[in-house]
Amino acid sequence: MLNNKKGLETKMLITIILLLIGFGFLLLFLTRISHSELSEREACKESVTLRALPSAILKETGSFVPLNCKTQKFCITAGFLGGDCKEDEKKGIDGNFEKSDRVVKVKVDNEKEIAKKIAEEVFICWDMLGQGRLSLFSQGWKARFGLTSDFVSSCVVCSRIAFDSKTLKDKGIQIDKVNVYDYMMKHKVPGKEFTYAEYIASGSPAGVAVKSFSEFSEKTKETIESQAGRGLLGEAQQFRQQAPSTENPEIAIVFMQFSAPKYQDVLINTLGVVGGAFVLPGVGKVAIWTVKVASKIPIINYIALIGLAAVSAKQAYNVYKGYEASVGYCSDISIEGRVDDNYGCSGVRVMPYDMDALKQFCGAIESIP
Amino acid sequence: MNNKKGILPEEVMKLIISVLVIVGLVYLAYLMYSFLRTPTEVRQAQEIVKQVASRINALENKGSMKLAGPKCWFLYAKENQVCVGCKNIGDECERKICKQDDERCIPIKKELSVSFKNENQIEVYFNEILLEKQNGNIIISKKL
Repeated sequence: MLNNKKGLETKMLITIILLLIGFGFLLLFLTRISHSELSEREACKESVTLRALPSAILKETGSFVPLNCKTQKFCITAGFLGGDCKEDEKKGIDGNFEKSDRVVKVKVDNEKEIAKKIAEEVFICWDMLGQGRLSLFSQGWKARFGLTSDFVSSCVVCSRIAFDSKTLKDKGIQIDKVNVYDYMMKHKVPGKEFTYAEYIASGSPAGVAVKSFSEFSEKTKETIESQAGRGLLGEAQQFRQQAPSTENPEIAIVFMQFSAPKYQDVLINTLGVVGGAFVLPGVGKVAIWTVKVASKIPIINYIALIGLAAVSAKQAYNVYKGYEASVGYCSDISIEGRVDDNYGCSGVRVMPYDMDALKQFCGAIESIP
Repeated sequence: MNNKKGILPEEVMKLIISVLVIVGLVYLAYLMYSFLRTPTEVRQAQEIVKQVASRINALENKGSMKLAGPKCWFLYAKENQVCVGCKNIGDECERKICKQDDERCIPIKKELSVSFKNENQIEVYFNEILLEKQNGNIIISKKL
């Protein structure tokens, strides 16, 4: 009896200690996420993990978990003191960047350093948002059952980079000579054994880490190279061409993800719900009774058949619209073998920070400006 | 008697630990609740209005801002404040569920006032605004 009691007390004590430890860990985790104890980027990464958890377990995106990703702002400047990134000095208009305490000035000495900064930001963005492996954005329950044709891509603006044209010009740095694509192809990520291009193109750092570029299959190599001028890496090259068109250009590094449901997913989800209705206690009996009664009346059978065919046709049409949207959003950043059967994609775009350009690729922005 | 004295502190310890655990769990639940209850779009709107107010306060002559905020949230002026709020305006926003408290306002400097040039409010969803200072009045217009 006494032994039993002691055993019980020890058990209780262990339970309490375990509870306290678990509670401590959870508290630490949540405090770190909700307060700015961690850097903004680490906070973003943690919120990404938290959001992706339900999708890993339940195949459902935890869109109720808000992403905690703040857009980082950089001003590329040159010279001893550096300058400000004003939008248009001639017109006397202050750009977004002026007088903002969250702008980090980056001093550069040449074009290569600008390319390096942009390549780093692309790398960080891709890594922070889960390297395209995590499903972060949901199209909603209607899409899962093929009941809507309204599909949008979601974006996180990881960083905005503006240029202080005046000091850069004084230093002899020409923005139009910045070749980000070339830099990403030729330079390795600091501390890693793969280049920026290899890392992003493979979508798997582990896979790249063990392979050098020369060991890459010819097919992959070709795919990377064929992206020049288009898509993920191509956008970077596009920036090289677009940059001189404005007085003080500003670019955005944007993570984009799009996913649309496939025919088989819609079918499984629909059958799951319909089947579930027959199994549920109470509801199931009513459903079975309804079917039994309805099946005896021929007109109801015909109506049910026509209704079923109409719903199926609508679902098929919506899934096709999703596929079409997927092609629109993803065709330029799709690298063979990484696109989920053309029904979705993830990518990082280096694009001008222009509202029309952003609107073209992003249906919704999920980052904090 | 000795037994009783020995048991008493042990029971008190258990009670204290239980209370501590319960208080901790309540705090944890509160943290979780406050983290999850603020949707991304509210936080985006909060940040946008903060930035607009800060730009207005620091504006010397002219300025522009690119607003990449949530759909169906509008920027408008209210007395001496600049606000963003969720509104069911237009076809696309008609079915949006806007809560009553979906409004965030930030007061600007007392000596300044804000007005809108052509429309009373501007959607913060992929829009660029121009700010112009005229005799202490900040005029906001949509950049076309």
